[in-house]
Amino acid sequence: MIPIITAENLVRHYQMGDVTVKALRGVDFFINKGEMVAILGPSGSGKSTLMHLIGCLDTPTDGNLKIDGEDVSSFNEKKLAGIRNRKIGFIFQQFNLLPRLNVLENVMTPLMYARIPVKDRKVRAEEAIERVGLSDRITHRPYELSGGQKQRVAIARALVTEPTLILADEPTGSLDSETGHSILTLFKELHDEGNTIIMVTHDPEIGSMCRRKIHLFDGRIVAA
Amino acid sequence: MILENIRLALKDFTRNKLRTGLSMLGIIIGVASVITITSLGSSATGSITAEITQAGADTITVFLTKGDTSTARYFTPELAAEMEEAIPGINQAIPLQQGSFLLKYGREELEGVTVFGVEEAFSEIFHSTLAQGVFLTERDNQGKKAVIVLGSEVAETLFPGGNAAGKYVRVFRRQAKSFKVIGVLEEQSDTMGMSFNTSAYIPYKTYISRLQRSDTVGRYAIGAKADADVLAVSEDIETYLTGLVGTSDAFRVISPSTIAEMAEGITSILNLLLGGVAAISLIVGGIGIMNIMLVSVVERTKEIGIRKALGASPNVIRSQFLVEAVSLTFSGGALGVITGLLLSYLGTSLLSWVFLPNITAVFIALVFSSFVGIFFGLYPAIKASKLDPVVALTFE
Ligand SMILES: Nc1ncnc2c1ncn2[C@@H]1O[C@H](COP(=O)(O)OP(=O)(O)OP(=O)(O)O)[C@@H](O)[C@H]1O
Ligand SMILES: [Mg+2]
Repeated sequence: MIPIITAENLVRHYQMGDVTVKALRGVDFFINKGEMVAILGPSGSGKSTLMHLIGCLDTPTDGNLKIDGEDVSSFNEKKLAGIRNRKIGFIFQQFNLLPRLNVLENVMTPLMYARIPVKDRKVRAEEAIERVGLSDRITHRPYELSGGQKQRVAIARALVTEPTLILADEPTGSLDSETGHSILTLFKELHDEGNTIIMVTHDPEIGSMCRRKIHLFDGRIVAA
Repeated sequence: MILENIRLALKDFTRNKLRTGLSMLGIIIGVASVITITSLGSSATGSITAEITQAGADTITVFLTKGDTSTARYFTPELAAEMEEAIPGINQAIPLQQGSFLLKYGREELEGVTVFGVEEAFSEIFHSTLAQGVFLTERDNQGKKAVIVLGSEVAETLFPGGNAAGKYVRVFRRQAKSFKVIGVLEEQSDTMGMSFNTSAYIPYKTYISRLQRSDTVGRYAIGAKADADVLAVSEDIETYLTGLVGTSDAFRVISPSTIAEMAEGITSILNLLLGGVAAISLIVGGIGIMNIMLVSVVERTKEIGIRKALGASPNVIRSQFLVEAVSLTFSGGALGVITGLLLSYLGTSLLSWVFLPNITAVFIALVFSSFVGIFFGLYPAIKASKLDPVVALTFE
């Protein structure tokens, strides 16, 4: 097994004036290629904080984090941006589509940052959109889509760069249970196709779907 | 990516027309006024130059200060010949006398005709050509002959049927004097305070002996040599006369070139002033742009966060906002240029000048407004690029 993520003693503190908020108090784990992992835990336990670190949106206060063999804990903003672009596909609870762009343009954006020629961008974006079943909405703007459709666009956008790692922070948190279920089915399919997926959730359904679960409590892993 | 950013920026502007328009207003007004005034300036200079080349730029006139009795005795008819002798750049110099008279032929009459007392060289100095007959000769002058050459309008009024040559016109002041018409001038546009078409010309000596006694001349008309620098010749005349008279207050040496030079001087002062106005308006406009860009960065914090999450590096975000600021100021500059050109075109056609847009000013205005975008867009752009991705993403 090849570990895609190796975390050693990951610490993330937030300094709020005189108070230090200890969001992560030292977590160790590794995640292998092709795994589908659920991160569970009560509100405020540090799930999102951990996802931001894994997603290279944030850097740890202490500890080591290796992603796909690269030690990212000491990377600068520019290098982190490169890792995010090439290796990570992020999916958020709030979809986070770019409101002024249509579906195709949204999905093409990460490819633009990867400096892929416009022609190829379009082809690849269309493929990704087809994969999530939204080919008939390609010129629609985000406000013209339902929540479930928006999340599918976000998934297409995460997939389009063929990332090493797909991260989803409560991807069904803003959806009704039926729509949420169909999104989860999509994730399951993506996992079956060989993608490595890490998902934060409160949803027991997701929990039961993932073979591996990491339980966080107060910034520490209590069960893995 | 730059192209896409420009496209995105322009798309955004058209969505937010009012705000975009207002934020560009400073730059539009600044650039428009600069383009208008510089274009009017160059059109004015161009029109003056065009007039001068038509009238001939080699004519110099020495005007005498009226009522300066202490120096009057120096300005004799003979001084013309003396100047011609002393200053190498002079081709010909003649004294002029002038007065306003009533002219009659039969029942036709014309009030307020300027009658000039001139010498033979007059027609050559002012490049006048004859429509009928001949011009006055030195023999006419020496003989104080009662002969007259008419300007085109004078001839038309007195001789509606044409054919003035050989007829006798009467010139009235207190009493009538009869003059034989020996020639009619072609129509000629006004220059140096001479209205050729509404004037008539008689020999200098005839003028002072028959029409108006006078020991001093009215003015001197001087033709420079074809290869001479008219401005230098004017200066030589000035030096010569100052040396003779002892003061430069008694006369004024004027040539079309001095007028052109004056016009150019005024235009360049105007352009200098405008440079200041332009700088101020562009700075004010730029501050407006900076303000709108700062607002835009705050409004789009979430967008910046998303773009960063998708892999946009700080450099990429910075250039996105810079491109946006430059697109804004460049569009403002372009709109200003169009407005300015339209206004100056209207202005010149109202004044019936030739329309000579100042292309350099247009170019500079566009370059400058882009530069303003870079300068005032930089701070907001850097601010955007430095946003923390997580903070930006979770911004509500
Ligand atoms: N930017 C920040 N500044 C200060 N404290 C923060 C910041 N972000 C998170 N925290 C704190 O860190 C702790 C962990 O937050 P985190 O968002 O990781 O929780 P979570 O497990 O994702 O919770 P939820 O299930 O509600 O999303 C919380 O106590 C939170 O208040
Ligand atoms: Mg969370």
